Amino acid sequence: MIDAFLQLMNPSLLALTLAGVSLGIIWGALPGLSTTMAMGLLIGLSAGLSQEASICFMLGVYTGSVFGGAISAVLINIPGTPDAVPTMIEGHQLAQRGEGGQALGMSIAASFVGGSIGIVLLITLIPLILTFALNFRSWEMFWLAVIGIMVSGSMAAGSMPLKGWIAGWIGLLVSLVGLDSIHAVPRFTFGSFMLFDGVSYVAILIGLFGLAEILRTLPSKDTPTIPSKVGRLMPRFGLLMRFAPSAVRSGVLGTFIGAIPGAGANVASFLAYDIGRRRAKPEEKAKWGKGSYEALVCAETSNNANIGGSMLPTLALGIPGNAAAAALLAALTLKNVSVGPTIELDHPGLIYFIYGALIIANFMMYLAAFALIAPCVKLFSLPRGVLMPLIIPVCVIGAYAVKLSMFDVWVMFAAGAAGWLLTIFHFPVAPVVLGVILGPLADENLRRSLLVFDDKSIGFVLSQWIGTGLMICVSLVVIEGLLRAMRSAKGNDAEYAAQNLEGTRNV
Amino acid sequence: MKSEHVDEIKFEGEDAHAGYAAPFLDLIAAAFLLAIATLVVVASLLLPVPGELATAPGLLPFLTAVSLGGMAILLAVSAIQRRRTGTPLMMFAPGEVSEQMRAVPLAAAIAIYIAGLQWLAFQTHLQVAGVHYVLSAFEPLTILALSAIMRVYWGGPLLAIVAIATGWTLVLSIVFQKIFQIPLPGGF
Repeated sequence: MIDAFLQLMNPSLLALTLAGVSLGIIWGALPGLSTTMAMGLLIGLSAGLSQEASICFMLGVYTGSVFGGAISAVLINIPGTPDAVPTMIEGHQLAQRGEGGQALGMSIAASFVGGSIGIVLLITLIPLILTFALNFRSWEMFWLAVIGIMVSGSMAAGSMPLKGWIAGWIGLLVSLVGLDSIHAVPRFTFGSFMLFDGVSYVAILIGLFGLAEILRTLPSKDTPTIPSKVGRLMPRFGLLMRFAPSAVRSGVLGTFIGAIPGAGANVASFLAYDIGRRRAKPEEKAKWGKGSYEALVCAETSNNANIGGSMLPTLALGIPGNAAAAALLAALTLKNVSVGPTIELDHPGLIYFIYGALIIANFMMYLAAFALIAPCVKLFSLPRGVLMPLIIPVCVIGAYAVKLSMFDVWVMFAAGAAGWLLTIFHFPVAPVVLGVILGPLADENLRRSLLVFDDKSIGFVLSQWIGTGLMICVSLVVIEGLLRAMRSAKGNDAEYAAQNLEGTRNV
Repeated sequence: MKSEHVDEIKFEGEDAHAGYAAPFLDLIAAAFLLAIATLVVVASLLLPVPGELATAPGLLPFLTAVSLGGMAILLAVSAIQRRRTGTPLMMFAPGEVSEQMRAVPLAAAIAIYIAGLQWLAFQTHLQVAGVHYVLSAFEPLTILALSAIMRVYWGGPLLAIVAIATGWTLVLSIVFQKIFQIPLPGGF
């Protein structure tokens, strides 16, 4: 660990972490530009960096962008990232009372505490998970990949998990294009050599989270830009101490939610916010929704703790905790880093380097946040019609940079168009990414395990208790999803109709 | 996005829209998915099997496509059931269709921009104040594409649009060429 810190003290790595954090904060603060979008687009940018530099930069972006959403949420009542919605509800109320600076100061402090809780739990829990994960063989890895896609689908599609699973399966099919990993037989390549290497997941990631978002939001005629004064920023550690139990509870919750594939910082912040409200003292509960500092602490600690949590399955199992972690995984894969149970054997010391980089990024986030709030406020005045087009060439460069291939740029464009169509048909996009990333893992491990089980009985297969346990988990995810869908079908229909019927053309 | 009451909070995110759609949309999606699943099933059965069946390259594609087909049928059944219980076949929020239609020319403009980068690629080496700089199709095409898109979707003064497009293109070009040392598309 000390070696890793000494390595991280390299000025160029520190500068890159700071650059990543700063870019992340600004990106996160801009309404409509999410953490996943930042991570996806900047993979291309990190392609030219060394392995260490790329890790520092991407973790900086991740840490910065999760916090960045709070700035616009508090000051202009628009959450920069989806997880900042609870922060917006409370923070903007405080800003309207002239406490915007204090609310932001509190958000920065809470984010720092949340990030620290996530990192501590990551460092504590990862050795346990790694020890356990070393027992995972092909059969178990196959089921783990399936769980990752299923849970992600289940979480992303809310009341209709079927659509999430379909999205995951689409991603899985896309990942199977190219030469198969065992016999090198070309699959679904239509005779094109360009497809022999498969479809670039970086291009897909950029298309789904970058271009699709541009296609969705740029034509929208909403003009929600309302610049506001910041006031004096005050880090409220004193006040934060008053809400220490809420901060710790939300931090732990955020970390564990982050470890569930598909459950991102938005789920963490909403859940922590809701649990915080239920557990708050009556006098504090009365302030909830009208400008409560405790609510702000709950939301901000949990969404930043989510970063450490999402790293748990990503590093220990190779299963990304959320779409942003999937982007990080893609960036690591580009640098020939194979994460998973054998990470310590394959890349000795790397895990400590990642811990160190996260800790440094968290500290830099705290410092950079104060410096960047004023420039961010200036950027809020940019109309969407200016901001979103500027991202188009970044998408193009990001997709092109990985293999210097225009084919990948077209893949990105196709993925963007597909992502836009998916949103029109109310399908989630995050499970597609999980499917694309986990598909090759599922494919290779399924066939390897079937070869091992070739002359074995069903009893032998079921005696592989971890695999059987994972199979049961998959069944439970499916059953829970179906029950949830059936339960909510009626209510959601009524809600959907109510939302759309007024001034609506029905047939 | 905006809510004054805590009880009205809903999960938001890139996938906030995900879930129930109008039955008509679900039926179209189901038909498309079923067609894709059928094609993949056929294509995976046609793939060669060099070793045992357990390691057949078409095994997972086949299983995935079959289960995708099953899910597509479930989606269609759910849409039909919802229609039967009184959900309108098609529902559009005010302005929803026109907004979606505005995305089509945008997608076309981006496609033309990418095609331009591919087919009009050129590269010129320049010395600007003693610094080597590579000018490729990326710079003029990006300025042109950004200006056109901003003109349509923002509508600000032309001079400001061109200045922003030029400034941003040069920033990207210099940062990627000189700092990240990544060649830009539109060159060789």
